[in-house]
Amino acid sequence: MKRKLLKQIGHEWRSNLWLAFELLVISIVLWYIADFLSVQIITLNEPMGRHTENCYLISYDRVQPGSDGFNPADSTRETYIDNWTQFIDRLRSYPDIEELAQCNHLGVPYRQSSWNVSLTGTDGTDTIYLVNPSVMYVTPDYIRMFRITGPRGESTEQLAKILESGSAIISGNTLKITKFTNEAVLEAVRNRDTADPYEHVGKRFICPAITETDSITIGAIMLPTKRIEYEHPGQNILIRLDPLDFSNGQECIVRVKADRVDGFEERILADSEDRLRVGNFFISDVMSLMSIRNISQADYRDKMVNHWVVMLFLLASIFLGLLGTFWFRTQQRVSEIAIRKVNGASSAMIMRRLIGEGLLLLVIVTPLAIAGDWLLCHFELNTPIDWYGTPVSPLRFLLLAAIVFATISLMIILGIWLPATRAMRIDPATALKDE
Amino acid sequence: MTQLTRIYREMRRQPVIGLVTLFGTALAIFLIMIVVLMQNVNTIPFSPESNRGRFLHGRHLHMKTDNGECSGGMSYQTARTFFCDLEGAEAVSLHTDGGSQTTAGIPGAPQAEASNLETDAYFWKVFDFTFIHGNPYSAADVESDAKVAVISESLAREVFGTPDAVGRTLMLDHFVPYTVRGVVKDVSPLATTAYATVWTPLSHDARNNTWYNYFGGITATVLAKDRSDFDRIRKCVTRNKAKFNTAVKAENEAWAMIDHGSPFPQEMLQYATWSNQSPDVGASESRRTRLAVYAILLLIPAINLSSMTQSRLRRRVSEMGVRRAFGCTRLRMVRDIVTENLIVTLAGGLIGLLSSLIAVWMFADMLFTGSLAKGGTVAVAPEMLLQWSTFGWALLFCFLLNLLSSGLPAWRAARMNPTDAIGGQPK
Repeated sequence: MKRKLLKQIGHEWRSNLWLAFELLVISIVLWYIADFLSVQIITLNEPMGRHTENCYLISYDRVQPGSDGFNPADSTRETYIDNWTQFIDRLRSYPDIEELAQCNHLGVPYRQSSWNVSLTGTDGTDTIYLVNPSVMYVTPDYIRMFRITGPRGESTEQLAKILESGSAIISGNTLKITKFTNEAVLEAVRNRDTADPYEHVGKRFICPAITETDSITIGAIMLPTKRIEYEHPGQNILIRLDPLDFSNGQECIVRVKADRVDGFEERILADSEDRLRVGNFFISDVMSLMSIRNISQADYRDKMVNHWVVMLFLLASIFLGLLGTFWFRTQQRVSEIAIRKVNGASSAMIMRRLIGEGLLLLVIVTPLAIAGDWLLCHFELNTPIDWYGTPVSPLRFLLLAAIVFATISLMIILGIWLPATRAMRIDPATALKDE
Repeated sequence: MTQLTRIYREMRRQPVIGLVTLFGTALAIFLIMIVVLMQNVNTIPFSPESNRGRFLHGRHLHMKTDNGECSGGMSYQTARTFFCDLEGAEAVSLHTDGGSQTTAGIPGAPQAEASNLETDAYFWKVFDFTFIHGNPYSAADVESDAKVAVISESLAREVFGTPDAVGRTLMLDHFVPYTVRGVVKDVSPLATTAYATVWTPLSHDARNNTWYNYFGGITATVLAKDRSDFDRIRKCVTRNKAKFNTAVKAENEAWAMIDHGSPFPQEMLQYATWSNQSPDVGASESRRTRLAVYAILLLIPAINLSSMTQSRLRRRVSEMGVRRAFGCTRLRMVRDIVTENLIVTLAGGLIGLLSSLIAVWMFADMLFTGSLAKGGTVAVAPEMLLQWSTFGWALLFCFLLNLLSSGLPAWRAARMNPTDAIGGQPK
């Protein structure tokens, strides 16, 4: 049967060559798309590290000189701090609000800025460097609000207490190197030299970018957090934020009680000019973290949708191509099919034969397509699975190839099904009338 | 005419193949045109950016410092130094880079969300807004830091319930009173440089807001008299930058400007995302991706259509044999087949183009989510889509698709031996 099929394919080699070439190109492009989508789906499923539901960013401003209601007496440094404290207290006691935390600009989830530093310390004898954690200044309430935990089951409360005591908290994926050169950093990135992050706990580090006068003690290890859902988790360091110090910026995030989410923005904005106004401070805007997320992730989502569209287009192309080609083929083979029928072939057998022809073509090009996929990976043209450039695992590689094979097979079956069903309706007597 | 009849007869005889060919072509052209249209929106002129062809944009500043590098927007002073005394420029406008989110409203009522762009008075010369009521603010207003504003029609309706809001007081950011000086027709967020819903004079705050002396949030849009003046303008900017660099060096020897060749024409603006990188980098990468996308979108349907054309021609071998036997040249045969096919391709292309125009028009919000982030709704006006260039591109892609899909089969058919062909046994 296979030999006969091969012979038949060989007989129509010209149009089959086109079809095979098309299947080859589409197989490779689909593998690329499937790889991209699989990386996106894997990344989307990696934990965010922060629970952001029902959370809102409260933007505040101060009434400027020359504006209605500006109070010059409220613009001294003392009144400024007093008013700020009162402003935060009023927000905390606002009936809709459950929790409140303060952080610097980089602490706001779904923002894509980062400020990466390196910490220097000693490891008994050697100098060690912790490379590239992004600095977030946060109050202990931040850890409670976003339910940040540690890799060994450290609770939110434990971590919050440690931050409160003045120690810093670093994510377990922070890289460690002993010689600070570009090569060493790249090497560490390649080998993911995180060592055992717990060996840093209790040690003192220097980081002039954060503090020129004091050293920083690592108090605990936390699970890494992601900036946005489409990114891999980054390396972070949490430093305690003085709630009255504006030098690193002060952002205010609140979690709203689940039953008060509806209409929260309207209610709080309506209260912003009187009930929640303290001195010159007032709420200028309220934005849910989900809205910030949607804006930040728009480009990523678009890219994903585009890949799905191209994938559907390619599948539709295979379907149409096979439909057209086999429509003709079956028409040309009317007498052949009729003779088969006369000789006792069942409809199912003829159907199997026609579909087999398409599938065999795919089987023939698949090794070539896999070689093409491998070349894509070899030249690193595929989508990286993480920040470290880890190559695609053989299992995922083959699994994706299998998915692509199965999807194209399905299209082949669909594309050939229609003309084949039509061909089988032939009455042998009519078809062979001329013979 | 005979060809049209032939095609019609062919279609009647083979309705499925005819439809598959037509649908396949339409699908390919549809997707290609969506890509083209989305790309076009960045460069095609529409109000208030009708002069996009004559724009040069100055966006960023990148400097070497004593302990590394620093990059970002320009301060007002830096922008003024770079973009003063430009030969060949009709007008130069300095304004903030992208509208800042704020609120607008009247006291005691819910505040509307607004996007606020601070501009100088030349802004109204560079960009052609349509004023429904009132006028733009003047250079004297900008100088005196006057609290006046031009607002969009939809914001006027939302806040005041009527577009005629000239002379009314609008509170920006809850507490700052502005007098409405003019109301303009709504601007699409796709007009990336001019988009806002409230335009106010470039405030003293914005002008004095600098960091590291040279950086700030100001951007420049130069309107050249003609595209041929671009080189002259760039020369003047280079001269100004050299002066700037000398002044910087006099202050601190280790500091120097790293030039990325700004100002850029409109077609490069979309790639001028990073302040420490030349837009050429992004442009060449995007061009490569686009070429790959076009190649795939053209090649795959071409293979399909080609194998269908070939099958179709095989049914007509005897007809071709007879034509060849009666002295029809190969060239003429190829021409006839390609032309015949082109008519089908053009019909499919037209369906594809029309559906892509309708799709972009109807689903603009979904297609341009990046611009949507700025606020408002992305309305794509018909005049933004119905450009000669769009039809030109569609036609070009149809020709390419046709040549790819019918060229080879036609050539093969024309090479057939007439005797074999008449006997129905082509080799």
